[in-house]
Amino acid sequence: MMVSFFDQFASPSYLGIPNIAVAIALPWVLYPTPPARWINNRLITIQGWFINRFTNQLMLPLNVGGHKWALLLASLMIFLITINMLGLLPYTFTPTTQLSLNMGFAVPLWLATVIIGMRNQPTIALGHLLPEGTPIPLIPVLIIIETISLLIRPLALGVRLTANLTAGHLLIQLIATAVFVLLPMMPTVAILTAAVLFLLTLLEVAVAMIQAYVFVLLLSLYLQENV
Amino acid sequence: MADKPVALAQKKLMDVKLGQLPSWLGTRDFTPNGLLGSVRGGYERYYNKYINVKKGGIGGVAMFLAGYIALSYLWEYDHISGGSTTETHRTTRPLKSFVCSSVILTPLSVCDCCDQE
Repeated sequence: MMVSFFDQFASPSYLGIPNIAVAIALPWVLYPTPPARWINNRLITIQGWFINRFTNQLMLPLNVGGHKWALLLASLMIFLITINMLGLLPYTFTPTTQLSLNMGFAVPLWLATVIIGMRNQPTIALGHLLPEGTPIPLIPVLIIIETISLLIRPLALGVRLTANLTAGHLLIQLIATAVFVLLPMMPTVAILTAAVLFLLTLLEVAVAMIQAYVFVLLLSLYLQENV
Repeated sequence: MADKPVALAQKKLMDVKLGQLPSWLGTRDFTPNGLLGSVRGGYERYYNKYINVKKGGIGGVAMFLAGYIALSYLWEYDHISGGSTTETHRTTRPLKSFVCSSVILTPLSVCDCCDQE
């Protein structure tokens, strides 16, 4: 049986217990609830600082109606960034490489923003389908294009996160395999490849954080249009 | 010098003599609530010893993550080693996959160059 590079993305399970269950529950353990103290320990302080700063940044462009989403967007961001970063540890499984999980996040949240817009301010929501200053002959075509663009948003959100993480993991595995294969034959080339691997790992750390942020940022933008 | 007489059920695991282990296990609570309580108790002990301290460092989180890596390795061993006990590279593959990089989950084609198909 041909073993392929994509075997790492098969959802693993042990004795019938799916690893993904532990991998998804792990972020909850890593962020303890701050006790009701004036000054907390270092980890809780850092955690609180990061969450507050991020939520402040995210809520800046939103009006008061959008602030209702603060808890959801902040917790989603923490969840995604933790899962992505944990996936870079050896032997761990990254749930966000599964398209099902990412679509499970993207579709309901996007749909919620659209329904909120259509329900509360239908004229404005539909008005987004036609940018200002469009030449008149282009109007029908542009409305169709904007509608397609609207409908493709959840797909783009989910697939973007999946593809970025999957591609990163795959690249790391490919280059690491190359290092191992080259080591006995051409050590110098193997060392150069190992340097590339190191840089790639740094890139993957950045990508893990950025992709989580982009996911949540785009959701907040969609919300901003509609709320 | 004699220890204070303590009931078996109230002893901690490290204080139980080896011969008393089965009877000590019999006194423990293995109901779902009991298991949940012991997990929560374990979490609280770890948290209060390593995380909830004035000058906590990276050590507390690092130990936990190292344990998570070890657990993931144990869970994925079957998958990583190809699942067959007759594989010649069975024991070297998992080690290679760790040393190789931080994200390898299968060592797969490490030996492709010498395989003949």
